[in-house]
Amino acid sequence: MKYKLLVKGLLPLLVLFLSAQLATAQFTASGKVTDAAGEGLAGATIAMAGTSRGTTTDLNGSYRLDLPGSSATLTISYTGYKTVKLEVSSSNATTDVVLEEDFAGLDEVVVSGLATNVKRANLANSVATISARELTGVTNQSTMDGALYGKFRGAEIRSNSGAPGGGMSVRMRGVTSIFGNQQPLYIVDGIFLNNDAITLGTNIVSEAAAGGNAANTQDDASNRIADLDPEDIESIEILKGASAAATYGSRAAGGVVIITTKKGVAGKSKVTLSQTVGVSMPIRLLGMRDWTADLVEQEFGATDRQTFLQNGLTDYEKKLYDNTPISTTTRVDVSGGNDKTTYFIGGTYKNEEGLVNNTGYEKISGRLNIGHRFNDWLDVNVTNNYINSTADRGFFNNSNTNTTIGYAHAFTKPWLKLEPTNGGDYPAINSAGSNILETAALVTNRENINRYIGGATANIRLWNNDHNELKAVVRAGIDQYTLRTTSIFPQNLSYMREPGTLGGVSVSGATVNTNTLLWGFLVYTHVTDGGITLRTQAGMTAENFDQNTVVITATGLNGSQTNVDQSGAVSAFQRRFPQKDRGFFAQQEFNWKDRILVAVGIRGDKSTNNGDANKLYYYPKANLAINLHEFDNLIDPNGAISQAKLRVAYGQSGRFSNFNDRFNPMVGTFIGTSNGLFTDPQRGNTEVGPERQKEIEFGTDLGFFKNRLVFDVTYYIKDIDDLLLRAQVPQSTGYTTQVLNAGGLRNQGIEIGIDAVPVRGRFTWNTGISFWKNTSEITRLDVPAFNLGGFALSLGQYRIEKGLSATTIVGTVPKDDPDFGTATYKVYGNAEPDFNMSFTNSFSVGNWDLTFLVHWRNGGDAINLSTLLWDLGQLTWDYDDKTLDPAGVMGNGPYRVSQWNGNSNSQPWIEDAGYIRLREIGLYYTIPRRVFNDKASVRLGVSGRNLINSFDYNSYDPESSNFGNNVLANAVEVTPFPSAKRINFHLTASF
Amino acid sequence: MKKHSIKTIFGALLMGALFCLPSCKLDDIPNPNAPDQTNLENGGATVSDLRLLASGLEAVLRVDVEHHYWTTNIVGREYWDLRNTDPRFTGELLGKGGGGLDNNGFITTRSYAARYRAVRSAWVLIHAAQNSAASLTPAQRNGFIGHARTLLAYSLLMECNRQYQNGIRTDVEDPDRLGAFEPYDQALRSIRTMLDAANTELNGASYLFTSTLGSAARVKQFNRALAARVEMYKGSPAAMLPLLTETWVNPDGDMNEGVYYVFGQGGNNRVNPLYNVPNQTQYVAHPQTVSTAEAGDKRFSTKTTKLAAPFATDGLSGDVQVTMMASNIAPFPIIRNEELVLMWAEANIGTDNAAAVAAINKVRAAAGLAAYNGPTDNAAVTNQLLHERRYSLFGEGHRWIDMRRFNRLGQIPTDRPGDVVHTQFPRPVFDQ
Repeated sequence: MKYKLLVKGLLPLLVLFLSAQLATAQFTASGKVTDAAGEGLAGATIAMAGTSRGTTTDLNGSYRLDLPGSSATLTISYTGYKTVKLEVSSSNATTDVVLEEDFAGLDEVVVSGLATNVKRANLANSVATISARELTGVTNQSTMDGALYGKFRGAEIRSNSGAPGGGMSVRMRGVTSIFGNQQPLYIVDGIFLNNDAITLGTNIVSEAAAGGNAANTQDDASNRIADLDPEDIESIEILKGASAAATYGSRAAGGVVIITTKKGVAGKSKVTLSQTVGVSMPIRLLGMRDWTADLVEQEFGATDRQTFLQNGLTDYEKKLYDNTPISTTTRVDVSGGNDKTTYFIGGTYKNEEGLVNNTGYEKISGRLNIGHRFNDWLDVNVTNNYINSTADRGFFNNSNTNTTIGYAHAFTKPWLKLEPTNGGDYPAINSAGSNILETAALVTNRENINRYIGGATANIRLWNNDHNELKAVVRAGIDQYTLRTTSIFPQNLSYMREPGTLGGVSVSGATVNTNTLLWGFLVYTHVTDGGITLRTQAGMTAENFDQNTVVITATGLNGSQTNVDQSGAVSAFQRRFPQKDRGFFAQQEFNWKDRILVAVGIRGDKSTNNGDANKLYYYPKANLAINLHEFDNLIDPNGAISQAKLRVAYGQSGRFSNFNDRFNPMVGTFIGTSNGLFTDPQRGNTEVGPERQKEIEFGTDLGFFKNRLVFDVTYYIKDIDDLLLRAQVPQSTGYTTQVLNAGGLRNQGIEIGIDAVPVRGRFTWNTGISFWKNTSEITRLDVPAFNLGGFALSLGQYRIEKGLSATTIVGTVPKDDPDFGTATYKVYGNAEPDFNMSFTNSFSVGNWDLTFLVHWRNGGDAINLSTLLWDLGQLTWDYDDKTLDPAGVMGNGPYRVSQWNGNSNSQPWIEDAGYIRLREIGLYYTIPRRVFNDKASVRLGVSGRNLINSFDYNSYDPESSNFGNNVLANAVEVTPFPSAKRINFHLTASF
Repeated sequence: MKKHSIKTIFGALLMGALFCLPSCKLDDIPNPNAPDQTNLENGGATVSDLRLLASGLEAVLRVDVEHHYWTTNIVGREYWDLRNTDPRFTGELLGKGGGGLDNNGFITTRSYAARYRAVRSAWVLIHAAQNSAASLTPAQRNGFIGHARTLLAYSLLMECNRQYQNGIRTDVEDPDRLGAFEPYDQALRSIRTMLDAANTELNGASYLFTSTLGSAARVKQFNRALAARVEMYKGSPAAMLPLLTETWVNPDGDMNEGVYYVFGQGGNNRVNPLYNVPNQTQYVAHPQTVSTAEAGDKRFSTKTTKLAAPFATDGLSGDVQVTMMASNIAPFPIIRNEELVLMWAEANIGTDNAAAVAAINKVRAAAGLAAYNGPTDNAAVTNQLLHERRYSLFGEGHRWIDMRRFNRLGQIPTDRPGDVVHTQFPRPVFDQ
């Protein structure tokens, strides 16, 4: 029965189908696509305009495409080249095409909605795009975020420390929140990536934060975007503010970083092997005071003089940091496929040793991306990425127990002997709090990641004819990782041995994080006879997040045992953060012959993180671009001006309150023989809602001389309202803080870019200059002005006050200041840089390529508490220099201490943190293919990262942050892991 | 055409499934990490919740309690903190260079916030016990309430002595409507009223929970001992004597009998933060405390250890380490018999100096010292009393307050040119 039905039903269908096919006239277009030099371009896309018919060129650049009817228009596109339109007909079917390089990137495709793209030339926003070549082409990159420095305008990127394995803060167009997470939303192939920095739990030993709380931000954890392998990335698009990022609604206030990974290219399988070997060294060492026996006696007394004479000096800074560790990266890329299926396989093994012994970063990353066209209406792209990494971070930053290496180093007298005697235990160094060599040798502080990121996108062409197309896009993805943190402070440490001490500590943490996402969109395109394209998209989004962290802390370890159950006492800490977001997005686009482009859209979001889980928050957007050069007779197409665009864009986005902001939790405790509960210092707010950002940006893009000189300028005003403030409440309530939507701030800035190709030919020179500047101001504050970040007013803090910049650094009023006694604080600086500039240049002559990137951050202050700690130890490298005291009498060390203690002056440790760095430089030689009988191509190179660093800042690195990614505290340094520079040697072979 | 219908159905099904996603209602996610305070206070507390809150209240007393004792003991120059963990312990706290105290630094705020957190926790227990739907007898309900109110008053009294003439808020039941700041004397009267109310509630109260302070009867005695302390601070010796008779005061008894903060290792317990590792944790007795200690005074010798080499930092140096806690789980005293006996002595000065001296001598005998045989006029006995309190209560946060109430802050030694002795701590900036 069934069979019969099938035959009955299908047979006529088949006949109908075949006859339809037979009845259609068709011809085959063919030809070759080459670049200006005549080299065939493999993988160029040939598409028939107005249909979904298309193919790609083979390895030699040749194409063949069957076309219906007797004539058609083909569009031929290739990344990095200008798109060409070609008329073909049955009588003129063989056409070769020469593609011109697209210096201005105008034909690049950029996201414009959640399911659609737009050519850069038609974009109304300043969206930065970074190609694989810019990202990883110059030198080897440890982490994706670390590869972004200086490569796009509008960002403030900081490396929190020199510890291996990441830990970066990326801030787009100024401060966008006071207490919220300011890091951008990272999206990889449509999947929301988790970028949390999860505590290591070392606070029980360091006691950097009050009460030994396991949830602490001072323990130099890395943030999880570090897991993504930069070598997998094809391109990165950066939406800097709400005007571009409104499509991402409540998660987009920090900007959005859209990462696209490499895809397979149809054609013969191509294998690329590359090997990098690098050597690191400290970018700066600080040195010691010029010790003499008399000086030792004068500072520390006769006993120390004796020790000094007996032991001499040991430069422990050199011993700890002046190393040249090796790092290696091995990479394999395989790509290929046919017209139905393409694949890309990427594998990386990376092993980077840190400057300090027993620190390092090891990563294995594997990727498999597959694209498959089932038929002419359905194609599916699947991405898979597995990462396994281990980072040994060392033990640095603040410590109230003098146990971190950096902190204890500030108090370690260089005439003391720290090595173990006769192979025994390391000696206790009471005067420093701990023995730094012992800590470096014995303490473990490790992050281990197992992560899978995978997703699938299906494009379904539901219906189309000459003027209409209806398409559905469905996407599902998952980002799942397990982070294991292991911190071990063995029982034989000098400060763990004695009864009454912690007796050895083992902290074992596990975080399981799962983000899942399901999106569905319909896109309807209608082209009128008058050349107007209308595109409508609407769809729904659902994202679920679940994070569960368990940290187990064992103290009183059994001898050398490190399992948490081999201990005297075990305590546990657990936090769960479930969250569900649901939303919709709709957008209407209007394009009149690429001359006038308009888009309006709206996003609606609800989330369980809001006080009211079912309240929809709306985020609209609207933008307009006018391409003057596309109008007939407006601009002479043969004149100097080749492109002139005016653009304006407006959009809104938001930021959720934190998970805990709405709750009044009770804290668990134990006393005597009973469990107990007491109140939390934070008071819940059931009314709490998201922050709202409104941004408008204006700009113009101008191209000259066939776009060999491109100039763009963007000005933006970004207002953030309903700022979530952790307001200090009167402590006599029994609480100290409550989160309120109680403030507003404004960022304004300008971004200017000039890109040029001054020389082209056998010798080619590409150059680019970027300039960006942001200023902020607190525009509304419903709570009293307050200080935050840092440790205390006298040690420098940020101040949030209406009318001030959000990054104002203040301190106590000096006694010799006219305002002493009346003012409660004095402004000493601003963490926001005056401006950033970057300069890129690349030269190529024959087979040689030289590229370098210089990054200049001018101004911007930081709070350097390292010097003050060293001063208290009377060991500071510049203790005896007399450069600070205006009277020229006191040494810098005594001066700083006297200003702080005697004069309540916070100036001496608030320093200019500006710098000029040679971020990247690379010199490569490509061995001609003929050497290998055209079977392989081999490239050799040498490159460097941060090889030249110029700054006045009086410590290891002006970027250091004791408080990790917390933007309004991250210009505070307390004895960090010193930063490294690196020289890499490269060998790449492609077959 | 059929081809279209297949994918149209396919597409429609998919989109239909997706479009229902946002329209479905999101359920509020309750806090998976901790119980909700509001629910507990508004009648949701079971008997077991009340027990948790009662034990939690005793536990919260320990939060940052070291900051109360460190700051008061260091300002009173009983000992120094030379650990170098924060320069403010030897700078700001000792008035280095004549500087004042920061009204937003941890020296001031840690202790203040922690005491009021205990007060809030006490109110949560009171509200939870008052509103609980559990079947409780009045005696059981009052057990929770009187216990909470006693510890609430105790927490206020601690901060009252740090804030002194700045005054404190004693009426903070509703965090949205805080009472006015009351000057020191008025605050003491309010605390006394609270203690008396709690004392009434504790009359015949029955405890459904295990208190680390002792039995219900002992907590009632503790309440009266606190009331005696309040009268001592008010300068009303006559009011002290009847209160002391309701305590465990006993000149012939164990001087250490009393109520204590208890500590323990592991889990959510807390180790004693006032424990100093021998030869390591750099708290040293002030040299004057060392030099004026009588030879053979067990009160001092058992609480300190002579070091082989001095600890020194920031121009301060001392070679007698404070080792008053035997281990990191040793209990720390809240009120001991020794203090009660000395309060008894003080209450008698001016009316029965012989009784005062007799009480002093009981304390001295327990410390292995000869009886006091000096003059017995009021001034002399007061001087001797202060001497005994200095050593009997060393490290327990009394010296500075004693010197202040006898107008003798000028006699507290300073150690570096320009150092000053603070009279009180500033009102935290967010509580103005």
